[in-house]
Amino acid sequence: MAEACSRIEPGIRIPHQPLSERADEIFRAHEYRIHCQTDQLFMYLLIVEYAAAIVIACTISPYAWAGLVPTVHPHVYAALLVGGLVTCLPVYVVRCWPGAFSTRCIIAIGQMLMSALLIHLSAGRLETHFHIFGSLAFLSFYRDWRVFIPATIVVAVDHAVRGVYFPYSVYGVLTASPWRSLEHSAWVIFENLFLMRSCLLSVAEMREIAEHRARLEQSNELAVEQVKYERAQKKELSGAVDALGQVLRGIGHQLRTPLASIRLMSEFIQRPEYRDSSDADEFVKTIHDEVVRLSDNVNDVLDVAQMNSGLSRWHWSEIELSSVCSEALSEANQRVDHEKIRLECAVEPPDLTMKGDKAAVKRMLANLLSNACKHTREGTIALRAIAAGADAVQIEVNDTGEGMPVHVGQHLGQPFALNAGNVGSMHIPGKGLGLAICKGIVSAHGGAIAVETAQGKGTSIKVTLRRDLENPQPVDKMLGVEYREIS
Amino acid sequence: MKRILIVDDTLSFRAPVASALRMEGYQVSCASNGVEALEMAARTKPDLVLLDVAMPQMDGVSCLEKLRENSQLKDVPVIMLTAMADSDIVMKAATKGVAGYLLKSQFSLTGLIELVRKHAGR
Repeated sequence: MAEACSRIEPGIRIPHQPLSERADEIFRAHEYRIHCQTDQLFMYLLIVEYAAAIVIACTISPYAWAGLVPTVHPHVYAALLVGGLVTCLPVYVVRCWPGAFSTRCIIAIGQMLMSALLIHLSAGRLETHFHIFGSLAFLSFYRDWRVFIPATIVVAVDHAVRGVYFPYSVYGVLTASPWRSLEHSAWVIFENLFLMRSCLLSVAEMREIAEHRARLEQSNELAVEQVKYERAQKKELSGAVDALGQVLRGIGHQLRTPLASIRLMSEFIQRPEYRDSSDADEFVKTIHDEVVRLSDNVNDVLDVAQMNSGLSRWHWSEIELSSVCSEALSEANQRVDHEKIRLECAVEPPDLTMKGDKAAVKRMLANLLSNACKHTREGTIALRAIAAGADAVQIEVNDTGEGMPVHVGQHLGQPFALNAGNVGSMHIPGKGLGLAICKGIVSAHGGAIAVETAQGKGTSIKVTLRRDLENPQPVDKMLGVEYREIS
Repeated sequence: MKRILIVDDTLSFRAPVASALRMEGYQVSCASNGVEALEMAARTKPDLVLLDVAMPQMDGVSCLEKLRENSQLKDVPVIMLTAMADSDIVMKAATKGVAGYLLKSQFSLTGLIELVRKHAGR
């Protein structure tokens, strides 16, 4: 077992049941099945023997016991009564307790008593004694050496008692030496010794089969686990490759677009025939703006990469949320059309504080507000920070914008997933890094992020952050953005 | 004077191309998405369309399909421009009949002007 485990790949679930325990379980089940089958066999055998006893009592006994004139002899009644008793009890126990050791013992005793009855009915015919040996052979079907003990005792006692008090019944003679009973018992013991050995060998073989089967089962189970593990690994790897491809395409797009513009504008300025045009001055300024945009894009990409790899540097301090919220809001103020959109901010209680990275929390709020501004044409954008119990704060950004499409909601927080393959009517303005950055910040502050959206009615983003953390939390790669569409 | 329609959602890309083509003596009109491009094309009947692929509202490939469905615009040469080298888009655009396909980061202003001269004339 230990050897088998040492070869197992990490991550594969090792079968919980020990091999020996499973082998024992298989062995017991096999043994029980054999006991039940043999119980059934003896039940039918005893019924047949009972019928045979009645037939013998009616046909053979009158001649064997009373001469040549057949009459209804008391043996017929004896066969009916004694045979009935000898058969009924084993049949009853087989029906009620199949497979039990006591059932086997009662059957063994019943079978030996049936032999005694048949010997009696045939007036002690020597040939009928073979019924005992046949019955012992049948009892060996149980593969349980213990059943021979009650059987042998019954045979020995029956022969000893009847040999002394009723020898004609057992040997067909009027007198018999006590040694004769002893000899019969000795032959029974002689056969039993071989049958017992055979039972013990059969049981050992059954145990070997059970162990072999348990080992096979365990190998199969491990193989299945190995396949499952490999499939999961493959799926994970394939997902990682897809995500990487998506990120690379996103980076490519975010870098190529401003670079292409810069290239064209710089070429324009360099051409002597264009240099004096009024557009040239405008392009110098635009080149600067594009370089800034490019630089921001590169920084955002690097920030996401650092957050995902746990390499970000955080500057932990006590943060006044009212101050951070108003700073973030003042940036948003410059972006919205105040005639159509009202910006609201509420911090409850007003002196609410938390421990964390102030610049990061402000950046997160700015990102969330920026998204809200992009997707709200009119109505309200409300920023709200409240205490959520003693050790957390909840920050909400609610807008009355267009809501978030399902295809965006499914990939929230994945870098560049926003517009991966989405063009035309599916295209959403933005780089697709804002929520990925927010997710990294939320992870460091031991929080969670959830989005509720209603098409055409607005979006509500709820961020819960721990306020009592002394240090940033390690990166939680499993952290997702919970998305819920409401009507 | 030959008429050129530039369709791109990025102003900083659209502007130098438009200025350069104007300096070269072309009559230039601009659109920032597929829907605007179709309206503009119907109005100005361009001799060449420079068409971006990834745009909001209506993407370049859908716009190309609509142009080809329009009996008056179906023969207008179209040069596709994109920031992404996506073979699926190239194949899709190729089946609709495009005059050229250019990666934004791999062409120069001089090269673009030459290509425009080739397909639209002077």
